[in-house]
Amino acid sequence: MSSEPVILLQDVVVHRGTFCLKIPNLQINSGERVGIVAPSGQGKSTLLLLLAGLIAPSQGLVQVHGVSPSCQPAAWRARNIAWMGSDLELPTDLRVQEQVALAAYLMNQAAPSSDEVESTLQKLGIGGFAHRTMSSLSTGQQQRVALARMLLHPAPLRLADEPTASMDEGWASACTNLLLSRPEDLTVCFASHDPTLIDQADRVITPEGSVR
Amino acid sequence: MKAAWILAKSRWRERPGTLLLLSLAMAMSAAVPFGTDRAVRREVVQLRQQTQSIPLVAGSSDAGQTDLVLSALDYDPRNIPPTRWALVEAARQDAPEGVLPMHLGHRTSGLTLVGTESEVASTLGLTLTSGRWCVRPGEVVAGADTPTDAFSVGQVVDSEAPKKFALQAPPTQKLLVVGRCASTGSPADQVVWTNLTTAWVLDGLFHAHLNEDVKQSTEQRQVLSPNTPLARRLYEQDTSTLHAHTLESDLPIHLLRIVPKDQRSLTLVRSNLRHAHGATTAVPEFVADELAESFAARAKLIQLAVLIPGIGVSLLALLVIGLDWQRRRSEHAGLRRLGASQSMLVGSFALELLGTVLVGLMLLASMAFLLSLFAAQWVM
Repeated sequence: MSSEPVILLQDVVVHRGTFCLKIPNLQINSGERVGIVAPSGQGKSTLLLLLAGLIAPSQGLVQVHGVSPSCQPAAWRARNIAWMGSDLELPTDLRVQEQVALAAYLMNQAAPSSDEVESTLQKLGIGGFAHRTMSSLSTGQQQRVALARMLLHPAPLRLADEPTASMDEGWASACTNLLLSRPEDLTVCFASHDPTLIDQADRVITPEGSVR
Repeated sequence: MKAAWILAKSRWRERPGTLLLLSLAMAMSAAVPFGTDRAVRREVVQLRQQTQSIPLVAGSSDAGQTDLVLSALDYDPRNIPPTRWALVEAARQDAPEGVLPMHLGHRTSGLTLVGTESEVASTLGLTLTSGRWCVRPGEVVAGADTPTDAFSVGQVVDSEAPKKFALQAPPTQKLLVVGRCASTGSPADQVVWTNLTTAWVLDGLFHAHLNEDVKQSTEQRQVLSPNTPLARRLYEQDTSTLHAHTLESDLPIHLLRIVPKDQRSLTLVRSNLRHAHGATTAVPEFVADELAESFAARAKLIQLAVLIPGIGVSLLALLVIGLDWQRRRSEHAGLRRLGASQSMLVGSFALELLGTVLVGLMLLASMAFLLSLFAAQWVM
């Protein structure tokens, strides 16, 4: 692991409507698998949105890979962060293959080969679905497609908001292994209520950044 | 760019209905005015060219000027009651260059049969490519565009009575094709010409009987000799009793095409026919101007009739897009979280619209072409 933290938050305050999240100090190093755990409405998703640069802090310091993510252009986010939101918000007209290759297109990189796509889909139990549209899949299957897209995204930081919420126990376990699989320099930060996923995290924190 | 392309492509692929609806509305709104205007312009130009060759037409006092002109142009009798031979004689009294009587009430093999005189050749500028002009009753000369398999020289065709199944309808007559005309590029190419006296035969006034009860000729009645080769050929079963029952002055004529010597002659002939004989006369060139205005007015009505549904379809398409907007916003939010820039999202939307415009243009081109073919029929 590198000594430079991938994520650094200091004295951060975020206001979203009447909700206020305060994070005195949070540091996540390269290669760490960090789970964020809290009851609903306590700021898990807010913290992930903050890390992804999708919202800006009201005050304090937020740094991802040494820069403030909310000040970066969209292309920076595409290059550095693999995102999987709790609301899938996927274009329903896209086919599965196009969906999983979308991140590469957004990064202006060559799309993964059909073999790579099919192999990833096989691992997630949706092999043979490459040419089906998103709207023809169940919510659980759509979530696995979103996970496949994240797995094929070569960004060094993965941020996932309840990535196994709509999956049955068997697939949740398999997907957990894939999500947290090495390479070593890959940093994963996820919010979840799923004990299988939480158990495999290197570190479990609350949205305020304290260790549980 | 590639992301924008696959997004736009996915919309066209998965929602062809919306794409088609929008394109169709677009195409309709543009193609109908364009197509009808084009058709009206073409028709008016054609009409003016045609009317230049017809200085004056005349017909029954009950006939309308427009009907007379259009009947003279396309050989369709429309709503003009027949007049008598006396009108032809009256027109000829003023010695114009040509007076061409026309009977338009019959058809043969689906084509208009025009009963007239041999003067038709000089007045209409017709020339023959084969055969000769008809000189006797029962002979016909085919226009250049008539089918050669049915109207080749030497063939016999059947006339079709105007009221084919009426009890008092005249019997079907045999007609012998004796010539074919050269092309003129006018509606004259699509008709079959016959001697005016044949119109008399076709109306049942001059026909064959199947018995020997033959009436003799009188001063007021003509009888065609049954022993002519033509009569034998046309009526093989019984050629002994071909005779007439009417006066020449009763020959049915629908209209007269008159070529005066000059403007003074035109005024003279017209005045004489109108005042002395109560005939309706019309100068086709003037009527063409009125018709052009009428076509334009009808075209406007058609445009309005199509534009209103066109606007309706456009609104419907916009409603579909509006209802889809919420989903699109949610998708765009998701794409932004993945790293899609605003310009990429705008690009994908622009590409989607571009595709719609392109499909619309293709539809527009084909619809405008089809409309220009059919719109003429609607506005006439």
